[in-house]
Amino acid sequence: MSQLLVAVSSPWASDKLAEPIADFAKRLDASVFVAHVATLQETDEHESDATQRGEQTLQLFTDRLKAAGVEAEGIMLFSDDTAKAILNTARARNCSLIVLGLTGKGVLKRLIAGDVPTNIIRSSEIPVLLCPANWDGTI
Amino acid sequence: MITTLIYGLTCSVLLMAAPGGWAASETQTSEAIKAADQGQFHFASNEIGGLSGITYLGKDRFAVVSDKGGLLGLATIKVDRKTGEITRATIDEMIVLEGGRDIEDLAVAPTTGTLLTVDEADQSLSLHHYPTGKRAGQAMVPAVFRQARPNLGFESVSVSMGDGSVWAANEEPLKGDGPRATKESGGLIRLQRFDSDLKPAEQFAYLLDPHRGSDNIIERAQSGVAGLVALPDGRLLVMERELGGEVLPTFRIRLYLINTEDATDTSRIDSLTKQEVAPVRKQLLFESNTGPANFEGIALGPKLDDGDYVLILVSDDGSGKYNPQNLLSLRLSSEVVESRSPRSNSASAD
Repeated sequence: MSQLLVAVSSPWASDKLAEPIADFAKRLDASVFVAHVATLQETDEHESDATQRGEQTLQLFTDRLKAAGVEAEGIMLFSDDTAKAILNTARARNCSLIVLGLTGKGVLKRLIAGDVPTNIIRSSEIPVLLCPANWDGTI
Repeated sequence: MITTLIYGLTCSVLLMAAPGGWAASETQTSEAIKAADQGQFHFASNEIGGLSGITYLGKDRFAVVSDKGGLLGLATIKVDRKTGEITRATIDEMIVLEGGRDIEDLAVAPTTGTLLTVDEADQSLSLHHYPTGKRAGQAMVPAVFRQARPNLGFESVSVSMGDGSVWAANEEPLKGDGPRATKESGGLIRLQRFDSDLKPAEQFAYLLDPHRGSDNIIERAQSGVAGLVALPDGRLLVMERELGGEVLPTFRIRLYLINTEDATDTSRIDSLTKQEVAPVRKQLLFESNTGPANFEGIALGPKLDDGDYVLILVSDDGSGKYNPQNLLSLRLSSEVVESRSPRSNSASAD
């Protein structure tokens, strides 16, 4: 059975991506790792609940995949280098595809927070599927 | 691991006699490491006991691990960023780590961000997923560590945020590396470095301090390495823990900054008694008699407002049912942490 790694950052991803990913995984007969990366570094107050939100996101997403009949596991990663953690976890788990949900961040935000999709694409030998923020459909 | 029921009960009596924790009356500090003024702190509840390891997860979050069956607790430990004192400590969630028998310490794996644990039951270095607790892989550990004495094997692991080095150490000498520490002399243990991909790299001998003696009524004196802190520049702090003292035993911790520059790489040496080796050099930065509190875990915590860092220590004071699990906050000078540049700090996904 092949494995997909889906990286998610907010509960938004659960609503947006769970259904098309479940449909896609079933057609591939694949299991799914849902990963969220919590940063280790100090961040501002607005980010103080980020880890908790991450756990909720994992729970929501995996619950929806399992409800759709897809084998799924949510994993929390702790790293200041989000791209590196996602890519190395995908390698370690022999995943055949990395799926990223884009958040629609502008250039300035990407400069500040780091451009995770770009960093992954530049370094990855595993195929990467990007789901745009305004996308609504099936894969 | 040093715990007995009798000793645990003794600790309870001593703690009741000294509310607020053990006064750090025999503490020697340096400019490099100082104890926070508050003394020892306790978790708000004691549903998880036998805390043997701790690691920092950012903000106010830490993960602690119990050596009683591989129980992991996600903890909130709030630290006053001005004083370094702990203001609140709670265990928020608990999970069971798959396959964990006697997990003594944990860290965050450098390349994947998963949890990395050492198990004293089988000298394993394992990856675990959070929050499922599933075992996600194991590192290849040099065969020499199979010579660990029962319950005196892998006790500590730490990861450098700078270069991704992973360090692990056995608590007391391996069977082939000579005798355990005595009142007159210390034993030799091994500090093992793994690279960021968890492949074994260099290994060094470390000479333990002698202990104070064994003329007490409860337990034989012991001296061993209980914890490690890998600094961002790749250097290492070693926490020695000693049990000893006349009549009633007490624990003593010492924190050493080590230097590996002139030390022998012992990777290919089967027995440290068969040939002469140069151990790492040690510089004492902190020493304290912690009374009945058995501090087994240590982690580099958040940065304070003045640039210093906090070291958070957790104690293994038995099951947790009768004894509170103590915490201790130490202030580590920024001059120690930032005195050298990291060997490398690559942000690439390799």
